[in-house]
Amino acid sequence: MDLQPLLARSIGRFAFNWNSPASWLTLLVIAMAAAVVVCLASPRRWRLRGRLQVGLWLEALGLCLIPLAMLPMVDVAIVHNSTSDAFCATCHRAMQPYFSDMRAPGSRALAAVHFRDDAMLGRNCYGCHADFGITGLVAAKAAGLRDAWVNLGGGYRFPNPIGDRFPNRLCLKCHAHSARFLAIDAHLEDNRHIAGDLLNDASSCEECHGPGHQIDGRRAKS
Amino acid sequence: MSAYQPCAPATRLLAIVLGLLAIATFATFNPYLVIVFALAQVLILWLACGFMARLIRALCGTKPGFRAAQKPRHDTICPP
Repeated sequence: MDLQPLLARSIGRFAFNWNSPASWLTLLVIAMAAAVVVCLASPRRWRLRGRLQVGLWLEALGLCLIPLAMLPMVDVAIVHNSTSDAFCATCHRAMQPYFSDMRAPGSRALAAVHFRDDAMLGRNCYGCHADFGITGLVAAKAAGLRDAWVNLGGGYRFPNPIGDRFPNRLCLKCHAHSARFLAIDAHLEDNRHIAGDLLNDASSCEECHGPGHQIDGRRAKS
Repeated sequence: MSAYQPCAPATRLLAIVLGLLAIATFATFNPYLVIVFALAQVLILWLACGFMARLIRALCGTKPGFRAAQKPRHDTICPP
């Protein structure tokens, strides 16, 4: 009997992956939360039997030790899982056309090409739209909170227009180091460094490499 | 340690609700539950710190909120 589909179904949208430490971490958090509930639901019986020490230890586990051990894991699990495509698509009903286009086998949009290449392991939205490092992560999560608020109120236009021009640095954070990118003269100055036009956004990657997203086969516009 | 009193039922109930919220959040990864749980971490931290403070006070024998506070006050037995 294959346990994986059963496990995945039984825990809803959380897609369990045996090879992913994040999946195991999420399962561990669920188990710890269940342990908190069990610890705190039982002490009353112990107390009534006059076993205060047992009640004390159960309270210590349920109110203090398990939660304090759980909190760092919770944050890692939230950050890891909230960068997945499925998580973005859940919240962004208005973004469904973009998400559908990304998954369409025949689409020529950059999002679809990256999705087919599986270059970002299920984190295509985050991989392209989040900026560098911890500040990029925080900015992406703050923007996600803002989008969630708009989505909750239903105050979005449909199809959702693309906002600011896509900055080249978000492409270059991966491509600037690739041999294929550096082998093309149009990307480089005479001194073999990356072209200034690309670095200062005077010309956009999308101008040559097609639209980032398409809706109904046409370039998505702001 | 004998001065330790079990936590209030409301505190226990709050912690159980937070535990159930954690299970629901991590089983479904609903974005709104994730946001609520991320904020609820402050409550979890507050409960954990509150428990530790109670325990330390019980271990040190200081009285606020514990059995020592329930003993008859001296001035009610022997009024000045």
